Amino acid sequence: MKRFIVLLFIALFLVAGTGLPATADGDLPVLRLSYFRDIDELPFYVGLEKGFFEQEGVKVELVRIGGSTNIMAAAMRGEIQGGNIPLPALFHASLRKIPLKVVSWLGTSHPGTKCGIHVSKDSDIRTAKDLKGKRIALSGSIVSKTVLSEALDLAGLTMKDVKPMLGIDMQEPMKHEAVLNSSQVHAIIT
Amino acid sequence: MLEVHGVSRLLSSFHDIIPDFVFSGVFFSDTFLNSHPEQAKAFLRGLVKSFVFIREHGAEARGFIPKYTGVQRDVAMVCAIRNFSVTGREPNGFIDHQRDLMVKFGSLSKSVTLDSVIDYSYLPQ
Repeated sequence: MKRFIVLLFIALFLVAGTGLPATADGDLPVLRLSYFRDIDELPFYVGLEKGFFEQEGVKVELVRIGGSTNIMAAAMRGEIQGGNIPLPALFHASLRKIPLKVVSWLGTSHPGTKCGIHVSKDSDIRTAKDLKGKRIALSGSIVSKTVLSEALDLAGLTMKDVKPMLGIDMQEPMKHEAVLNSSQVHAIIT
Repeated sequence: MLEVHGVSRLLSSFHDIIPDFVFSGVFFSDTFLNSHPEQAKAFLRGLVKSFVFIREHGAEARGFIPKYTGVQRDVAMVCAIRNFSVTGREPNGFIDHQRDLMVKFGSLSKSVTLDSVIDYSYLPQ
């Protein structure tokens, strides 16, 4: 009997000594983080699928919330601990002294970036100057308006030279195809 | 995605228009950071592991996209994804340039620094 107890303690010591993370979900604190259900939140998905967050001692639960104001409000109410938030919202958070911190950036564009101004495959629009007088669909977010404004500015144009159509849903990319195919718009920011 | 489906042609990318465009960041509320700093650090250690994994195992990482986004696998495997800094940090110049453009085009009432909002101290060194 005494030998059995000694062996049991040795076995428990060996298991504890492996440094394995707690396996029961209930043993780990849960962080609720907002996300947009976007391709660019891939680091969240990888961390969940590869178990990186749990290996480090936290469990992550993604909560889909649309709109920066709603995201910050949810964080202030304690419904989420944080999440993914567009850069423009952080400038406004700083101006309004909203009590939050950005603790890591979540990616930048690069020469292979496909986000931008898209035109129909067979469009005769070849440069940004050709956008003059054209209907351009965009979400209306600060990001999309800033990118379009700068593109037009670089081409010697302003927003007054084009016909912006605001309101496309950035989280519904399949609808973008329908919009372009409909020929109701000449370009789309996505 | 539109290009992959043969629907569109990219006229100008975000990067062409505003180089090194910083899209978004991960934030936590001050309340959470003050009460659970170790949990924030743990999350960020996991996030940095993800950044490295995406860089080293891009195809396997892309395979997770359909489950979380609804994007079709054929698109997920070839679509452009962001450049993720493995340190989680970005040069201030990238951020300041976007701020200046927001002011220029009227999306921000005045120039403001993010010094009081950015806190890299929870990231692994």
